[in-house]
Amino acid sequence: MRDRPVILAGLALLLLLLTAPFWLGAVAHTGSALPAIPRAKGAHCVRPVAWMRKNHMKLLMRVRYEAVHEGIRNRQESLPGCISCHVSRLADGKYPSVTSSKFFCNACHQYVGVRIDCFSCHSNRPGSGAGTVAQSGGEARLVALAAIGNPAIVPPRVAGGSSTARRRREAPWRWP
Amino acid sequence: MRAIHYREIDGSGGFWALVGLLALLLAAGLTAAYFMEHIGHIITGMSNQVVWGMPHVFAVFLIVAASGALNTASIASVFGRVAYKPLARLSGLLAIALLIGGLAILVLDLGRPDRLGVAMTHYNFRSIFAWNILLYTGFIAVTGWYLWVMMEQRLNRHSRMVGTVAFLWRLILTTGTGSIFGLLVARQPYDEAIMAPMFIVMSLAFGLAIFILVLMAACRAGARPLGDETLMRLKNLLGAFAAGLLYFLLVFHLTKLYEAKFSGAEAFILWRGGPYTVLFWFGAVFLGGVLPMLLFWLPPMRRSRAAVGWGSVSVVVGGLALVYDVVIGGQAWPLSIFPGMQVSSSFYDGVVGYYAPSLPECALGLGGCALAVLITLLALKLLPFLPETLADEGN
Amino acid sequence: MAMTGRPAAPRGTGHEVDEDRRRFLGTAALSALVVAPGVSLLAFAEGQGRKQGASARTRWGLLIDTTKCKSSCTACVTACSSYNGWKNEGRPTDPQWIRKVQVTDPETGVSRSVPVMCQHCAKAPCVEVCPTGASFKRADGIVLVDRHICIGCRYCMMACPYKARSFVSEEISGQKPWAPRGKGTVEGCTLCVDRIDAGQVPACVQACAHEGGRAMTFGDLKDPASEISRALAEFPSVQLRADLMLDPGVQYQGLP
Repeated sequence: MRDRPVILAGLALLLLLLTAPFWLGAVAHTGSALPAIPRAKGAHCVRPVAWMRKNHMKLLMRVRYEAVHEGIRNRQESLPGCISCHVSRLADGKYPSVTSSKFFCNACHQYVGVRIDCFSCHSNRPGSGAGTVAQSGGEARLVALAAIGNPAIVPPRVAGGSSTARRRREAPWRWP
Repeated sequence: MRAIHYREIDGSGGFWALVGLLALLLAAGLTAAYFMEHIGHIITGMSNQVVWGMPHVFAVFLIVAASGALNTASIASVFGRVAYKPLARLSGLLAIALLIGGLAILVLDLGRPDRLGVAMTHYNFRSIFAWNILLYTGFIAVTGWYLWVMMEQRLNRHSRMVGTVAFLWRLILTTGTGSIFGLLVARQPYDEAIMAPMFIVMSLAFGLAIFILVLMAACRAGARPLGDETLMRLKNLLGAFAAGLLYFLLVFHLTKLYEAKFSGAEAFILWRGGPYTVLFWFGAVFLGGVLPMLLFWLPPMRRSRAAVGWGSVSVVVGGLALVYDVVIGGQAWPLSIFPGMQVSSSFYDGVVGYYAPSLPECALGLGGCALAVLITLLALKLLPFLPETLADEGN
Repeated sequence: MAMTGRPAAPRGTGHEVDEDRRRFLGTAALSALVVAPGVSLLAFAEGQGRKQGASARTRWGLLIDTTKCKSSCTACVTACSSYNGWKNEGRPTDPQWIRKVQVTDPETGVSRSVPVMCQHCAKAPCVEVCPTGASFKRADGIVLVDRHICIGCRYCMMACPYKARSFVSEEISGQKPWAPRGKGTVEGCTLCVDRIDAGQVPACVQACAHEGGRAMTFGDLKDPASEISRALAEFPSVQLRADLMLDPGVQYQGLP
């Protein structure tokens, strides 16, 4: 067994390499500041903030299923609804780039290293009400505005509350 | 019947050079896939008219050939022909390798290959495509099991049972692959149930041709004897499969010619389609069927090994031409949304779809082929798949 | 959740807004003024909002009278493109959710300009062939692509007899908030599903009514009193590729 030291060294190296993300992460995060989360426009979120921090993805997954498959559209509880409240113009009057850390979702997602691909398809800035066809009347414009997520403020809903939507079944599928 | 001794192949300098070359091809394919995903399919020749391109030609060819490569093993285990037994392991190995190569192309061509997990967890069981995902992965598992049973002496007695499962599985698999096209009622060049059995005959021919070529190359490079009797037996089988393919092509097109609704599409493939017509007659019919039969059976070449090799190459080239003709030619023919009418639009209605394969697509396709050969080579090197000698009995 | 009543159904060609809806919005606006300053009308409407989604009691359909459709007019195409944010720059890779096909009878020479989009089949081949179920049909008959689970295999494009779907083959930006679309997935006419859910008619129908020849009628095929059902009862109409028996929700009148 002359090879024993070589084998053990190789195994140790492999172990080190396999766990590298943890070590590197630990080194990178020591002393670094917590993410700076951009302020939202409204006074309240659609759910308590603590609940949202932990569960926003569950809410998004459910409303996504309901909107796309069942046609149940809730203006506040939708991705455009989130965007219209959470994405604001920066000091220079422009919206933050979807890749910058000033973009609401990125503040945390870049910090924890969780990649999202929502915005490869979804608009990353608040809708303007441009949803109407040019000639449509006032009423049509009103409704179109509603459909794109109005930044209005609603009283917060408590998790597990009486929302009809909450009683609906969860989406039958999940991300792997 | 003497005992068969299997042995790994030797890794000479030539072997590693070939491995290096294939690895380069594979790297080129992966690079192409990377750009196709990051820039988008805009860098390929595919469009909204021809939605499946060169990657699908290679993928369909490899997948079809994969199930056919298992023939030799099936003949040995299921139909009990002892003469084929020494070849059975290589046959199973090739089947797995070709299928993995084809699947890799198919997956990397997806618009969202990052969502492979979705494809594995969301099944629409009305979709023949979803069934194929299960059939393909299942085929790899069943053939792997079959190889194990063949290679582990204690389990040898089960090889007939497992071989039968693998044989039935491959028939269903190729039926599924043919049905991907055969069930498309929207497109006149497809829409024919006979495409399922036709794909089976295609698989028999393509798979055996590749098997013969790999066997000849491996025996030659490893200086292992390969008996005339073995080779001529395989040759006659391939000739019969090539004839079968011609027969199916004949029936397929006669059926279609007989139905008025297909006449436009048939005229396109058979005489007015420019490159697609050439591919059909020169590629599929001549190279894929007629030439191999001449090479195999014309009296002066009856015992020629070179003729066997070139005949197999001809089947492979003709097969690729046929698959290209089916996949691309079938899409190039415009949809008939308003039958009997003249149509024109900004969306190329009524116009033959234009398609020219791009470099990334070809790189991806060749990368898949390289992967298949690479798997085969490395497996041959690591495990005893190939007998020490395939010399004829009594020599 | 009980699906009581039909969702507020937009009918006709875009001028008429559903009566119930108008009343409801009026009441909501009034109450909002009284009850909660600072809570907007729409937030209120949302709070009490219609929660019922697409219902199988409805089947949305489109009737296109090609005798009223002029070859030179592209109002429907332009409206769809600008509302949903897709651009056709004339390349074969560009998406076209709706297009005008000039159809000519080679014998009589009769020629019509025909808008063709997703036909929203009851037995849609794209739904049948989709391996992941991303291509699906809503309860109210609208055929959509759930681009969250579309893997971009394009089998639906192979299967569709109407060439109604496009593949997004490059990075895009500036999507409309109500019409998400992105690289690597397949898309097509949604019948402006977000507008329908908000009680409006599709953009093409509205544009045709205002700038076009009023050739498009949108409505509920299952409601015998709807404008589309009455028009279908009165004049003969055809479905494209009726031989395939896919039962499209889009029907045509006056084809050559």
